[in-house]
Amino acid sequence: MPTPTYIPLATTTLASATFSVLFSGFSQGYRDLVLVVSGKCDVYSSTLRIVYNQNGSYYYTVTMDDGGWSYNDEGSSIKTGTANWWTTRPTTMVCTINDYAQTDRSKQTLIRYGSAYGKMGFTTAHFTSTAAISTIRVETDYNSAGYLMAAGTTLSLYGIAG
Amino acid sequence: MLIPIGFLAASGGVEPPFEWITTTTLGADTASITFDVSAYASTYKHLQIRGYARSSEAADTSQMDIRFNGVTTANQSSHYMTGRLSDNQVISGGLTNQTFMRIANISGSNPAATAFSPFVLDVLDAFSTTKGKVVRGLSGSLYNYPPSSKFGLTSGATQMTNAISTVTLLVSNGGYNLKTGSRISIYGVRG
Repeated sequence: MPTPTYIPLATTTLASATFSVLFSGFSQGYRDLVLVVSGKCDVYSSTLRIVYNQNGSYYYTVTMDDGGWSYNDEGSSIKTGTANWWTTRPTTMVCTINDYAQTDRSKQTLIRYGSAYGKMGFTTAHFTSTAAISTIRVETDYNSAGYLMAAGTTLSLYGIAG
Repeated sequence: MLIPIGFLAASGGVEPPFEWITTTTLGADTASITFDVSAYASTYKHLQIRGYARSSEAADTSQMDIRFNGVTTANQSSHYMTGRLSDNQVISGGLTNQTFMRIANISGSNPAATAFSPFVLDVLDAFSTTKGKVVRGLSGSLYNYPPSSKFGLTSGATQMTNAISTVTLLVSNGGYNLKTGSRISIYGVRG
């Protein structure tokens, strides 16, 4: 018997410019998660980052295609796109996080992003830990006024059974 | 502050737009996985396939293929846009007159046994009896740095106009197995 899914777990619309949003306490009972961020940078431009399980250690590798070129990165967070894709124009990012609660495998994330400023692309990111993902932190790459998620930005998390 | 918003489709008599049909998780290495979706032709408009898989190919990455209704007529095609990591260029290309549609990049067997690769495939108008079938994919296989893996956007097309009754996933046209632990789920989308 088919099961209704793509269940909204949490959403927030920022009332003021914000550096970081943390999703926590969500169910470990789904198969995949989908994170959707729609909004813009408050004044200038920046890049959104993702950190799982509040793990800011050197656990992340990233490859991205942005327009006509590709880029690699590694470090203590997932860099979701190339520099300045998160602009003062409307921007959207959709992330799929498969098998997030499984503990026998490392975690890979697929990301699509784009902005009306002109940048679009997609990213694959590897979080080398096999721990279940219990928190997701979304933040900009510079914690300073002008480089934050603007008021009105919406972040939503969905669960997909499977 | 995060606001829990619960189950969107629980009230109002509206049928859920997105439903999980079934999941296969392999207990042993297997050449292919086939889903029978013939019972859903009058229920759903589109299908989505989501998975986390690796293959037996002794390589960093492998290519996963898809077939509908078991058809092996050599008139199927696929296209890809992916990063070429040796010089940071994005490249595109395609295959024509194939007996399958090459639709995703997944991890081979060289990476650690904990490395699986995600993919999301959308099959639009899956049960139409007048349209050729098209599938689009987003997939990636990444586990090291500098990366030696592949990822990107893909599409596949077949000239078959029959409603889709079965969906088969295999690796490199059956040349390798999907590895134990690979998980593939299929979903129906109303429209």
